[in-house]
Amino acid sequence: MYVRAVCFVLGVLLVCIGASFILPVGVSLWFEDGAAAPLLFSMAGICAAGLILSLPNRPSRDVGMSARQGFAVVGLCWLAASFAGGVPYMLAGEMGLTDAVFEAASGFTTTGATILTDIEALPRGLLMWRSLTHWLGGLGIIVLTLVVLPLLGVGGMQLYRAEASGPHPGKLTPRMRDTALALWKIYLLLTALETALLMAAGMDWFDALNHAFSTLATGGFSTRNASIAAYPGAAIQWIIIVFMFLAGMRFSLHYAFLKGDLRAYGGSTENLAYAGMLLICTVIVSALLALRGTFPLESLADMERIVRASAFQLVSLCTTTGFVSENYIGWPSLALGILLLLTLVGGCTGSTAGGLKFMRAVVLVRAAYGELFRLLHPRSVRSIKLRSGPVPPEVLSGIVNFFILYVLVTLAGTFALAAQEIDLGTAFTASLTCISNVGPGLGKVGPVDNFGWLPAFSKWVLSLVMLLGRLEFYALLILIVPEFWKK
Amino acid sequence: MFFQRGRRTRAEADRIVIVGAGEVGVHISRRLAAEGKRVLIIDLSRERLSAVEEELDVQTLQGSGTTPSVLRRAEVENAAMFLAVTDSDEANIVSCLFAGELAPNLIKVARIRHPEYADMPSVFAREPLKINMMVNPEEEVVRSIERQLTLPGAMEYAEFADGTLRMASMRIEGEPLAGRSLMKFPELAGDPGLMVGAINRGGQLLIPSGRDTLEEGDVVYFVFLPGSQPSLLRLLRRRGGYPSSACIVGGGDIGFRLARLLERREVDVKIIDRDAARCEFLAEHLSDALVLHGDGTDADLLRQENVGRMDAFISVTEDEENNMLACLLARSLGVRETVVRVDKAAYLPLVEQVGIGHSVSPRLSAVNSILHYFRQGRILSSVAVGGEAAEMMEALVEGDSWLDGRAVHELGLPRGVLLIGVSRDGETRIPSGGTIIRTGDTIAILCLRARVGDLEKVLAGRKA
Repeated sequence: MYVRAVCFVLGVLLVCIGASFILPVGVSLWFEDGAAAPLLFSMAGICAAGLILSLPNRPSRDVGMSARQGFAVVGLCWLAASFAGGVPYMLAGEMGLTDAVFEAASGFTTTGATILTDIEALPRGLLMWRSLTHWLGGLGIIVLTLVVLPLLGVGGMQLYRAEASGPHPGKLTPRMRDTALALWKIYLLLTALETALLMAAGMDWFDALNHAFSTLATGGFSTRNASIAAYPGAAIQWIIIVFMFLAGMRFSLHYAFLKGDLRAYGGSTENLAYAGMLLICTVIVSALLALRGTFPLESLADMERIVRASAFQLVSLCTTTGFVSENYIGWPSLALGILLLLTLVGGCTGSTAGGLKFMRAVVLVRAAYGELFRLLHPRSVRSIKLRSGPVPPEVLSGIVNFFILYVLVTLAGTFALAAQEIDLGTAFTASLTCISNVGPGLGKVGPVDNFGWLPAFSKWVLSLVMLLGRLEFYALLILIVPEFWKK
Repeated sequence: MFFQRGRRTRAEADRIVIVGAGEVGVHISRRLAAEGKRVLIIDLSRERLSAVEEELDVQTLQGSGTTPSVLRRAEVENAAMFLAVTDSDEANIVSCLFAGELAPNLIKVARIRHPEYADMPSVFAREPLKINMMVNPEEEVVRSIERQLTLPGAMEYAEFADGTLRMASMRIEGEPLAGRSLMKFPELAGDPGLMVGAINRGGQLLIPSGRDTLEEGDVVYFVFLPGSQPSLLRLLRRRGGYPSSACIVGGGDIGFRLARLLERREVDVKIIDRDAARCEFLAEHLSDALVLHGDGTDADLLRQENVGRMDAFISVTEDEENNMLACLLARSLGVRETVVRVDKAAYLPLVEQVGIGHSVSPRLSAVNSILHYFRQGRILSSVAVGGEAAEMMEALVEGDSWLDGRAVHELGLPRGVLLIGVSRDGETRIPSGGTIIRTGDTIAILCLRARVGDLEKVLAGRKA
C-alpha cells in the first residue's frame, strides 16, 4: 500500500514537471527556434506518465508517511526528475542519454556543470528549459508538489525534511502547505525583482529571465558561452552578486524580514558567519590580485574591477552558483585555495545553495575547539551555542556523520574519475564541485571548460554525486541500504 | 499584499496555540489539524514534539509555555484561541495569564483539575486571568459514568442543548429491532422523541437513510429527548435506573468523587484501592462505602467480596491496562455492567471488542469539551462520536442565515449529515422532513468527519 502512495507522489511530481514545460514551449514558439515540437512531445509524454502513475493510486485519505518512506520517496522523485528532465534534450537530437541525464541532473541539483561546448547554438526553448530545471530544483521539486498536494499534509513534513538542506528545517507556519507556499512566494518575488533589475541594466528579457532563474537557484547555467563574462558591465555583475548572496541565505530569514522582523538577518549565527567570511575573503583576494599584479591597478575604476571580480567569484562559488565573470585559473594559488574552501563550505542551511553549509562548518569548528578546551579543563561542561540556542548532542553527531559522508563520497567520486586516467586535480575538483552543486572546478573542468569530454562512466558517477550532494545523501543512500527493504 | 506583516495583522481565525503536548494536547491538535486549522503546539520536551511533528501537520515550539518570550515567539497575538492543557494546573494558569497580557482579546481555555480551584470559578473569569473556559476532565468523567450507569447498555453517551437532547449508543441484540428496516422504526418506537442517528457496523460508522436496515450486532446511536428514555429502554428490553450495588476499583480523584455520588443515591458501594494511605483517606471521607485495601485484578479478593453478584463494576485507576483486566475479570465473575477508564485512543475500539461495555476517558472528555467550546460563531459545540469517525454539532441559526424559514427536506444536506434536533425557546424536538427552521433556533447535527467541511459551508450560507 505504501507502493501506491509512492507512485502517487511520483506521478504528481511528473505532472508538475510536465506542466512547467509550458514556459519553454512558449519561448520556443515566440522565437520560432524549431524546438517547439520536441518540447511539446516531452511535455505530453511526461504528463501522461505522471497521470498514469498518479490517477489510479490516488489515496482516499490523508497519507501518513514515516521518516524513512519520506526519504525514499524524495530519492526516487529526484532520480525520476533527472531522467524526465533529459527527455527534451534527447528528443531535440542535441544529446545522447548519458549527456541528457547529466545535464538534467546538473540542472535540477542546481550544479550548473554542463557538457555543452557551444551553449549559444542550442535553441532558445531548450536554453529556457535548462534554466527552468535550475529554478524548479532550487527550492526543491518536492516543495513544489507540496503546494498542490494538501493530501500530503501529514506526510508532507517527512518529504520536506528529506529534501531540505540542513539539519532541522522546521516549519515557518503551522501548516505544511502554507510553509511551501510562503517559500515559493519569496522565491518568486526575488526572481521577479532580479529579472526587472537585470533588464533595467541592459539585458534583454530572455537573458534576464534565464539568469534570474539561474541566480536564485544558485545554479550556474548561463545562456552565453562565456557565462557572465559576456556582460562586462559593472551594474549587471553587481546585481547578480547581490542576488546570489541573497539566494545563499536561509529563506526563513527572508520570511521573517518580510513579516516585519528587521533584526532577522543579524539574529542568526550562520548568517553572520556567512556574510563575515565572504567579506574577509573578498578583502584578502582583492589584496592578492592587486599585489601580485594579476589585474592592473592604476585608477579607481581598476580597483572597482578587482573588488568586483573577487567578490563575484567568491560569492558565486560560495553560494554554489558557479557563474564565471573572470577566468580565475591564472589567479594566485592562495586565492584559488580560498575559492576551493568556499566551494566546500557552500551557502547557508535552508537556502537554495549546496555544499557543507555554514551552520555545519561553524558547529564543527566550535566542536573541535571544544575538544581542545576540554584537554585544558578536563571537568568542564560546555555546550555549543548558536544565536538560535544550544546545539543538542544528537544534532552535533548528525553533523559529524554528515561531514564524514561528505568526505567519503567526494573521495569515492575522485577515485572513480581517477580510475579512468583523469588527472587527480581535475578528478578531485570535479567531484567536489559536483557534490557541492557549484559547477566549475579547476584543471580541465575549470571556469572556461566543460564536462563534455569526460568518459560516459565518469558522467554517470558525477550525476549521482550531484544528486547525493543536493539531497544530502540520506534520501538516496537509504535506497541502497539492505535494511530499508526488509519488512 | 504578498506577506502579512506580523504586528499589524488581526488574529487569524484558525490559528490556535496549544500549550502541552500530552495526550490532551495531541488529541486536540489531531482533530483540529485534520480540519485544516493552523495549530502551533508548545512543550518542554523536544522528544515529544518531534513525535508530534512526525505524525501531525502542525508547527511545534520547544520551550516553557509559561514564559512570555516563548509565547511571543508562538505569536499568540495573532492567534484566535489559546489552550493551556498541560498536566499542571498552575502552569496552565500562568500561561493563560501571560498570554492574556500579550493578546488581550485571546480566547483562553485552561485545563484546571484541582477541586478547590474549580470551586472558585469567579477568580478565573475576572481580570487579570479572564479564562473563558475551564476544563475539568475528572468531574466530567464522573458525570459520564453516572449517566452510563443509569442507562444500561449505553456505550457512548452525550448531551446537547443543555441536556434537552441526548444521544446514546446501544448494541442491537435480537427482537424487536434486529433485521428491521428503518422505515419501520417510528412505528416500532411509538414515540416521536426517539430516532436513529448513526450506525456502527463492524467498525464502520454510517449515517443511515430510510432504506437502511438494522442488523444484529450493530451499535446504534439513538437520539432521544429526556422524556423518551423509558421508551428507548422498553424498545431494547432493558431496565433503567441506578444500580443497587457497585464496586469501584481505584480510589483516586475520579473513584472518590464517584463513590461519594453513588453513596448519596443509596447505592451499596465497595471501593478498592492499592494504596493503604489512600484507603485511610477514603474511609475517613466516605460514610457508608466499604473501603478495601487490595488490587482490582486480584481474583480472590473479588470473589471473596462477592463482586460477581454486584450490579456494576467500575475500574478507574490510572493504569488503563489493569483497568481493562479488572473489568474482564469482573465480567467473567458475572457482573453485567462494567465501566473502564481508558485514555489511549488506540484502546477504545478494544473495549467494545472484548465486551467490556462502557468506557470513559478523562482526556477524551477534555478534548470533547474544548472542541465543544472551540466551534466559533455559528457552531456552538461539537462532540466526537464513534471514536473520531463523526461529530455531533450544535449550531445557532442567525438572523441572516439562509436556513431561516426553510423546511428540513429543502436543505439538501449532504449524505453523511443528519439533522437530529431543533431547539426553540428552551424546548427541543426531533425534526421531521416538514419541520421549519427559524432564526434563533439551535439545531443539532450529526456529521461524518469527512463531511465537516461541507457542513460548515452549508451553515455559513447567507441569505441572498
